[in-house]
Amino acid sequence: MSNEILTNEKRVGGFTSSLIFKLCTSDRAGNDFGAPALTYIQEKKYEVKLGRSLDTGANSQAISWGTFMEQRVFNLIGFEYLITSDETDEHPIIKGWSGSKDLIVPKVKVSDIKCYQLKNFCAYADALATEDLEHIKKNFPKEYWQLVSNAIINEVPNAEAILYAPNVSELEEIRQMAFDYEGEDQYKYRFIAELPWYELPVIPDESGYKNLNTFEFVVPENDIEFLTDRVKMAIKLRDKC
Amino acid sequence: MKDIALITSDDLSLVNNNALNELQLKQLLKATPLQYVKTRPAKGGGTWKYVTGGYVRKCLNIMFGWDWDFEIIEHTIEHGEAIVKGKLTCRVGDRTIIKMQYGNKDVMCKKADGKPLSIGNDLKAAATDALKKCAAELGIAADIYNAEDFREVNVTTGNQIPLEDIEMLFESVKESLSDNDKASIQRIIENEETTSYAKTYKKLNQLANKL
Repeated sequence: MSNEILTNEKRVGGFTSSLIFKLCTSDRAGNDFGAPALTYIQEKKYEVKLGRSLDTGANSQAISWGTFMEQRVFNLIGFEYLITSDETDEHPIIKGWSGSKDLIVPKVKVSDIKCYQLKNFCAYADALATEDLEHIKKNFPKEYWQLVSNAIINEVPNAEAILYAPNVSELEEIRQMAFDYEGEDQYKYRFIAELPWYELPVIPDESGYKNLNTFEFVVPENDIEFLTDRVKMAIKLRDKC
Repeated sequence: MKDIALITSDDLSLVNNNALNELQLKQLLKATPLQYVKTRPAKGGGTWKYVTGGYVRKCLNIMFGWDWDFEIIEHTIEHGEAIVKGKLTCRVGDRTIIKMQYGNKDVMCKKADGKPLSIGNDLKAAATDALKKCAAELGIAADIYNAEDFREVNVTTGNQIPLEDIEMLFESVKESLSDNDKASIQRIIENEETTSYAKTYKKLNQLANKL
């Protein structure tokens, strides 16, 4: 993990789209924050005092796989998308609310790419296939609120969930991509070129699941209001002595 | 991107009988055009900068009118690493500039049996690396190197598409594209969205081959 992210002004002490779902949890009465939200706010409080992120970075194969596959997905989808996953965007008004979208179609939608390990892939693919927003929100709150948050920050009306697991027949090309990649962090991707196919989250060509699954929705106005209120409340609580 | 000012005209006048003429020096000293500088997200944030092998070859061709050679002096595989010693020779009239450097690449192995996937590919990558190191000794992509405080710059051969190639290809297949695709590609070109170059080039090329 670079120094930049550990001390990134936009992130340190701020609430980010990827974990914003925690702020959407409520107590039993349903009015105040739930325990996950309070823990999250406390962590942000620590970060403000500490001056750096609490996160010391992770480099698991699952994370490396997801990161590497983002480029692959980008190559598979239309020209209208712009890949931006290395940028952190801030809410235009609320300081301390930020997010890193994976893709954007300017003025239209933000998209988030997930390349999960197989069990999660199946569950999320099934949920997306329902095209039932309430079902997705209930069962995949992390993914749902991340999309909503990034849509708000980027002021676009739509959000799109993208879920990908390559077919076995795609693996040769992917391995070549990993083989050809010459970045300083190339060691992280060696496993993609070297592991046998069954140790990678790839799906058979004749699977009951599609490799690329997408679901686009108009971000509901009430969820925009709810999340915006929650972030404002969280910032207030974080800054309270 | 502004031209870098590492050497002034006063500095140049101090050197009598410079091996390179003014045009060659301009080429050498100008900032690397944006479309050849590649960035890739570093995991967990930040970015790494790269220059492409294609850019280095193009610079050498322009500067020396194709009158340059690159030889592999020796190569070896040691401790899981392919190491290549390369020699770049550039000719200017009756004068010759020679730069020698090493390039390297980790040997990739199959997990199942530990055997190398392709030593040939690893040596090729190490040779490209050596060429870039030699060219860097001449000063090619110096701005990229300086930006990194002379730390090693990563290089990639995976994304070397000049914008003008995309523009040309786009013009040739434009009529077969949907209005949406046309508008999107126009946006990519106008905004110089470098992260989309490789994808755009590949897809346009596929289309051109079909037509």
